[in-house]
Amino acid sequence: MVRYKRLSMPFKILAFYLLFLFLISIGNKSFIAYFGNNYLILNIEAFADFFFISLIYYKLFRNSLITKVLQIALPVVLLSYIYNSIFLQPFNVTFPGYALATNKVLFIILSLLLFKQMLAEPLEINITKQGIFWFNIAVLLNSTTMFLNDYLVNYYAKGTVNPVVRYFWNYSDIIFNLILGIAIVVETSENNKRVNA
Amino acid sequence: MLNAQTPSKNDDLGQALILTGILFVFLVGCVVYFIVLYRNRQVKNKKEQEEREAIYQQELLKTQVEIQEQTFEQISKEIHDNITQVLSFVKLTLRSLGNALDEPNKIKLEDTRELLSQTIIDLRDMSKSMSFEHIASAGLAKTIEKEVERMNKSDVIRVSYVTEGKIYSLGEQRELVLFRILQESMNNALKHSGAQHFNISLLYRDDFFNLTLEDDGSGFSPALLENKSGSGLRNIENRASLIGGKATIESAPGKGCRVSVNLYPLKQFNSNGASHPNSFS
Repeated sequence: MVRYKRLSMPFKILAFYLLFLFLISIGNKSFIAYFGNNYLILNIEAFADFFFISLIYYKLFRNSLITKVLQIALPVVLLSYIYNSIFLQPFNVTFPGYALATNKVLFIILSLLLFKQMLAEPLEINITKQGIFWFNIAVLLNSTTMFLNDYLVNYYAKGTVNPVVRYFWNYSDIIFNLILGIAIVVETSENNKRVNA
Repeated sequence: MLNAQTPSKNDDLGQALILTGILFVFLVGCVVYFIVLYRNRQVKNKKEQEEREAIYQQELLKTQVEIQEQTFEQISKEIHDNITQVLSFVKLTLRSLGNALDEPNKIKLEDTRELLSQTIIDLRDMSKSMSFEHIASAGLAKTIEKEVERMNKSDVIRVSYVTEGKIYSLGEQRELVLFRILQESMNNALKHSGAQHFNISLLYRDDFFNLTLEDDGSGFSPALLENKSGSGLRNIENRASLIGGKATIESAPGKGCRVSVNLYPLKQFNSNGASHPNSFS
């Protein structure tokens, strides 16, 4: 809680997002056990992923044009996800492929833009001690490898059982959450140093 | 059911994994490249920031010097145009009073007048040593000569002065700054070190100039030089850098102090063109 208070706004949102992911992963198993699939959870996750991560990026970007585009895109994309989960890929029967794929494409673009911003305005702090770097790395890696993930999930959904397929999703999720955790820890210790300095 | 994978599906999976591996390696490469690029930018930015800081410090110093010179000029004018005039008037008045006095008092009055004359001369000399215009018109060597005469007359310290090589002009601003360095060193020797002797030497070479100032005072610890807590010492180094020179200060407890300023006038004129350090503006 003390660490949370010392975080900057984007990382407070990130901490909240991690908590949300944790709760979702707990709910996921019981949901599958009860309904036989987790499409609804995946729909909610796709929606929340976009909401939280875009919001973090919105707080991290300093370019007014990008923030304005995000301001407009945020409600538009979220509405389109709702539309998708009702009409195109109904949330109770279909895997939300469109929403997840859109998320990943947008996240790759946003992370690349953030890397560009970081290069344009480098800080004096070592890059590995910057939470923003780890966050961006996590998003970029997760978004790019998730294309394979989505492919594997489809594969898995067709009744094929393969250990690689079974665990790839879990491993990449664990790595993603771990790097996001590093981002928060690094950011807190850097903020501590700044406060103590 | 568990072995329901067809060969084509296994091929697809294999391809997907290979593609992912390639993608992953590519991404890691990109991240490493980004880190290297970022570090380079950090170094470049730091350099630029240091340059900006140096320029800012230089500008600040220029302004300080300009303000100080303006103040000196005003004090110099005030001494020359007002105080010495008033004292001259007092001297004349005393002269007229002399006729009305008896012989012993006349002698006392004459002594007072002589003292007053000496004070007026000293004040004029001081005014000259403070005036930028005077230093500019007389030149560094001549101004130092006058200053040495003035100091030796005061009997507070013995000052010796030597020049070597053919004297040439270093430019008004440079000569002014060098003279102020000399004054600062002399002031330090008088105020802090209790020196008995002060040596000044000017060395003129075609492409090199050196000003060396030495005293035999109490000196100070090299630690003082390292943390530069003495603003006078810092001033000497800053002023020297302002005219494109380099000041070296050497001292040790009980061993006096030695200040040496090196200048390469021709090199600086060539490299800096119109904005050479001879000009502040």
